[in-house]
Formats: sequence, C-alpha cells, structure tokens
Amino acid sequence: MRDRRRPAGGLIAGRALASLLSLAVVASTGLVWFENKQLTDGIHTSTSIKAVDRGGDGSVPPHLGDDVNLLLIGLDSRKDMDGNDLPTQFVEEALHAGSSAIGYYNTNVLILLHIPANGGRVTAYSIPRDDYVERPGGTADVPGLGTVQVPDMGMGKIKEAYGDAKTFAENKLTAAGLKDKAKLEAESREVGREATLRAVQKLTGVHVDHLAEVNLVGFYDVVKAIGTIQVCLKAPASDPIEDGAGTGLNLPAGISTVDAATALQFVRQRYHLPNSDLDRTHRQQAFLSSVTHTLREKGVLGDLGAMQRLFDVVKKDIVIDDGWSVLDFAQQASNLTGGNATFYTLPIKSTADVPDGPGSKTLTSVNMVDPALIKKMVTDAFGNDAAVAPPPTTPTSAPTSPGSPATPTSTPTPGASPSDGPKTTITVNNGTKTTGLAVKSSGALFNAGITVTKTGNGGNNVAHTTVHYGAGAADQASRIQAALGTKTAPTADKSLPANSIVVTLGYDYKLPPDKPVSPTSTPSGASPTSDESSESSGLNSGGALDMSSQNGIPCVY
Amino acid sequence: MSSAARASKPRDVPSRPQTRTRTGTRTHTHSSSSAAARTRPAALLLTGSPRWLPAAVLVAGPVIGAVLGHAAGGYHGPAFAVLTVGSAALATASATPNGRWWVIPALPPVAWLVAATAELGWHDPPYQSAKAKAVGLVHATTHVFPVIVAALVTMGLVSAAAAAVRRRPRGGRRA
Repeated sequence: MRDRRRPAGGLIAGRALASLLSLAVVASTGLVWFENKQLTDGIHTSTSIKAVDRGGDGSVPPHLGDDVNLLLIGLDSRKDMDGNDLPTQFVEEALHAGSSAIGYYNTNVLILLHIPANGGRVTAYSIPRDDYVERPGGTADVPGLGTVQVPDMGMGKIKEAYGDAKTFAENKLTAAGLKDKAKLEAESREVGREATLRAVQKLTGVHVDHLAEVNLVGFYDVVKAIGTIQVCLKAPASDPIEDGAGTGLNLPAGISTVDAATALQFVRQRYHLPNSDLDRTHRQQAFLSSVTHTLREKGVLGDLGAMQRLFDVVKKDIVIDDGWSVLDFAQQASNLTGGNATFYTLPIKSTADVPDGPGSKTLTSVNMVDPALIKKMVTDAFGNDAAVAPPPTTPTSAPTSPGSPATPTSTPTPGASPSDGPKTTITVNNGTKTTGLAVKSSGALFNAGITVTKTGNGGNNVAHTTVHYGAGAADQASRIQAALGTKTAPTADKSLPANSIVVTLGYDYKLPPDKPVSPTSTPSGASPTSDESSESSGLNSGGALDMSSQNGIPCVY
Repeated sequence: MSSAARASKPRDVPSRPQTRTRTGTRTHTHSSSSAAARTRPAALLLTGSPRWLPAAVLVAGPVIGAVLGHAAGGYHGPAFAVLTVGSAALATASATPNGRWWVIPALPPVAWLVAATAELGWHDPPYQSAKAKAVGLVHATTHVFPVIVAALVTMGLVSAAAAAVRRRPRGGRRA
C-alpha cells in the first residue's frame, strides 16, 4: 500500500497563499500588458525616422538627452491608408472638402514641437506650407525594390515634398510590377514621409525624434470622438463655397461650440482671411489648443480608459513612428496637454511667384524664407530649455474678449464687457480698396473688447470712417470710434434698428501697428504677454500663440 | 532525533526513499541499495540535485538574463527571456512535487521584480518623478508578461513530464 501522507493544513494554506499571490501577479501584469497592447494595436507605424537617420542631406544627428522633437504632419489627402478614395458624399457633405481629386498629398500642417525633458514649456513652430525650401533626396529602402535613390527634388514648396517623393516611389513600384494597392500606398507614403523629414530637418537644423501623421478624416474623427470643441474667432468668419473653393464656414466672432464638420472647416479655411495661409496656420494652432483644452476639461487626459476609447476611434487615421511609445509621450507631454505650450510660426521674408515645377511656365506663389535665420531660431529655442515652468494658470494678460452669442452655438466669451450686450449688432464695412480691412479692423476691435457681428463691403472710396448707430447704442458707438481712433463722431441714424451699429471704414482709418515677434529673440521658455502677439499681419507670420491664453481657447482670425 | 541517528536507522519506507523537509526539497537517506531499487522513480527529473538549486536557479536566471541583456542594449532582450524560461524549467525539474508548489508560484513575482528593478535602476536618463516611475513600471510589466507566460507554460510542461516519469513503471515487472 502506497504511503500517501496528507499535507498538513498549514502547508495547504501556504501553497494556496503562494498560488493566489502568483495568480494576482500574473493577472495584474497581464492586465497591464493587455491594456498597453490595446492602446497601440492597430496604429499604423512608420520607420521613416530611422531611414532618414542613416545619413545624407537632410539628416541631422539625434540630440542628447530626453527632450522630444515631434513633427505633426497634417495630410490634405482624401484617401484612406490603403489608397482608396474616401466616399465622395462623406468628403463633400461631411468634410466640406471638395472632391477626392483635390489636395493630393500636400502636408498642409507641419508643426514641430519641442517637449523639454525638464517639464518646461513646450515650444512649437508651425512651418507655413508654402515655404520655398530645399527638398533633399536620399536613399529609401522600399520592399520589393531594395534600396532606391530618391532624387533631390530641388527648391519647392515644403508641402509638396511628401507628394513628389510619394509619386516617384509609386511610379517605381508600379513599374516593378507591384499591384497590391494597399502595399503600393503604404510603401510610397513611407518615401513621402522620409522626404518631408529631410526637408524639415534641412530647414530647421534639428533632429525629428518622432512623427505623427494625421489625414483629413483624422481631424474630423478626433472632434467627432470628443463630441464638440470650442473655438474663438476675432472676427466673424464667412467662407462661402465658390467654384469648388472655400469651406462654407460661417461663424460669429467670439467663442463658438462647433461639431466635427465645422471644426474641420475652421481648420481648413484660407480664403476670406486677412493673411490667407498664415491665418490658417494660426487656426491649426488654435485647433490643437482647443482639442487639448476639451480633452482636459472632459478628463480624457487623465483617464486611461477614455484615452483608449479615443485612440480606438482615431488610430485608423494616424501614423506614428515605430519608436514612439504612446505611454512615454503621454508622460512627457504633460505640459503640452496641460496647456503649457507656445506656438510660433516660422518667419517668411516675402512672397514670390516661381515656376510651378522644373521647366514649367505656370507660376505659383511661394513664401521666401531665410534658412539660416530659421535654423538659428529653432536650434536656439530647442537647445535652451527654460527652467521648469509653473503650472499654467489663467493668464493675467488675457485680453478682454467680449462675447457675441450671435448663433445658438456660440457662448459669451469670458471677460465680456457688460456694456457689450448681446443685443448690440455691429457691422463693419470696408469703404476702401484695401483687401481684408474690415476683418482686420474687427480683430483690432476684438482686442479692444468689442465684438463685431458682421463684416462686408461699403464702397471703394470712403475718405472718412463713419459710425452710425440706432437707438440705444450711442455709448457703444462712442467706444467703437475711440477704439478705431478716427475723428468723425458717431451719428445717430433712425433708419437703423435699435441696438445696431454700422461702421464704414474710410482711408483715414489706420490699423494698429503689428507686433511681430523677433525670430532671434524668440525665447524658448518665455510666455507671450497676450494673444495680441498672435496678430497675423504682414509677412512676419504672426507672433506666438499661447495655449493657455483665453483659458485654452486662443482667439484667432 | 539526531541526523546521526537517522543515518544509522534507515527509513525503509518503500514509497519514500528520501526524507522530506518542510520546504519540499529532499535529502537522500542512502538507504540500502535494495530499498532504493524498490522505490518508485524520483519525483524530480534531475535526481541528486542539491536542495537549494530550484530557488537559486529561479532567481539567478532572470537576474543574469537582465544583466546580460543590459550589457547588450536592453535588459528585456532575448537573453532575459531565454534565461528566465530556461531557469524556470531547470528549477521545476530539480524540485520535488512539494517544492513545485513553491517554485512555480514564485516565478511571476521574481521575474516581475527583477524586470521592475532593472527598468527603474538602469533607465537612462533615470526616471525622476513618481509618474515617470509608474510609466517605467508599466514598461517593465509589458516586457516581462510574455516571458512570465512562457516560463509558466514551460514549468507546466516540465511538471507534467516529471509526473509522467514518476508514474511510469520502472525496472520491469514487479513481483
């Protein structure tokens, strides 16, 4: 008979305890592993940064330390990741983005962020898409083709580096017999990313550590996943769709709560703006700020589950580099998500018309830049992180921003002057031949605490600015005249409805002087005094946009 | 009873050729060869291994793996995985059935602790804030979980093999 002693009770308890402890460790590590995997699974990744790091023109050695330079690429493509056209109805009706033929692979958003390891203020530079820059070629490892020499693409708009290189690779791959559309798209886009990275590094002189690429739908999906975001305009926006151009945006000045489609219109508008593309660049910066603000307000940034749900929605629209740890970034970018960030726009020298491609007789307008100045500006800013900044607070310098709830979706802006009641309708008409004067003056009035309801044209040769007001608006009319700095006293006009004012700008009106930010004095850790510095006028590309201004919803044109 | 007394008085229990300690490791009693021949096969695959071997191997494997991996560029590399799984197999094979009740549950916390210590200790630049350290622990956990699973599966297989060997009739037909 076998001698089988039953283990003592204590031994059984010990075994059970050890097993339970072990099970707990396995279960918790498994849960963490699963959650982390869920967070990153399904995200498209790119090896382009490693490819560019191999050397050649446009390659910059990685910097020391744990700072992160992140390039955000916004692609104006109406195609999905597999190269299929997005549904026309969706593009035209939901995105208001015209047909699938428009946009190609222009990188309409290029924002280079520097996230200091010391937790200091995040500095970001928007690169205007029409900057005329060198676009170096380089070697690219293309599966099926081996190592391919992508030719130097010479001078051109930085936004076209991606598309031009992609086209080159696509042609090569097609000639080599690759028929899989998804593979063709993926491989050729990699070459496009590498070209963009080389052009950006060549221009700025800093190494890009990580990249995030989002397409047109990505912007839409981000906001759709959040629900709505708030944006703030200095002047009412009206961008009708004409001849296939325009976005159809129609928003009042002040803060508005917008849905995904309107947010996309907000970020894409470039017509009917005082400075066209440069103002669009500021819209992009404000969009990022508003999204971050909303995520913070809704507690998404501190909730892993909520972040994961958001990620699940947008991961199909996003490409990140394969060395990017989402967790690390979430930890490193706490200042960015906390609003402790300042956006600048790289300066341009002038605009010029140049041939639209080698040998082309068609001219295209570009931004001429000073690469040496830009390189110095960016390397100085990124290489001299300020001490850790205190947590962002409501800026004391935030300008008074009156509200004008002209539509049900808009809400009064914090700091609104009590006298600027919602009932007062202010129309500013441009009586001169100066393009965009009414919008620019609306911005100036906004900075003075007066929100304009509508802008328009009021003749071509008005010499003196007039302010006409209806019953009950005399005080406000006087304030407007004082803010404009014109001499003609406001005039009561019985033909106008009560609480309405009509301003007609004449040649005697002078816009307030610009407050450009000197590129060489751009402080990496300094915080702009107010959003007045984000005036986007002239060729200085505008000043800084503080993510914490207006409580995280910076006002832009 | 003194050890000398035990040695002088062999425990001639057919099914238990060895005395067992509380921790489940065993000591050979060097009973008569005839008694040993009558016993069932040892409950371990590595007969004659010292009692400290399972515990030592279980800890040493992940530690050496992490050190080698660190020297090669990352503690959580193949060296860590191979040595952790290998040492888990060795520890299981050298443990008695009762010892396996302790060796197998010990593997997950040991491996996780080694990975966590390596992550927090060797990360360059060092993790500064508590939040950063928490992220570091998430990284360690993410790296080590598949290794833990592989090691547990291996331990399970070794245990099954040991049980099979134990149950297999040995030395021909019994009288």
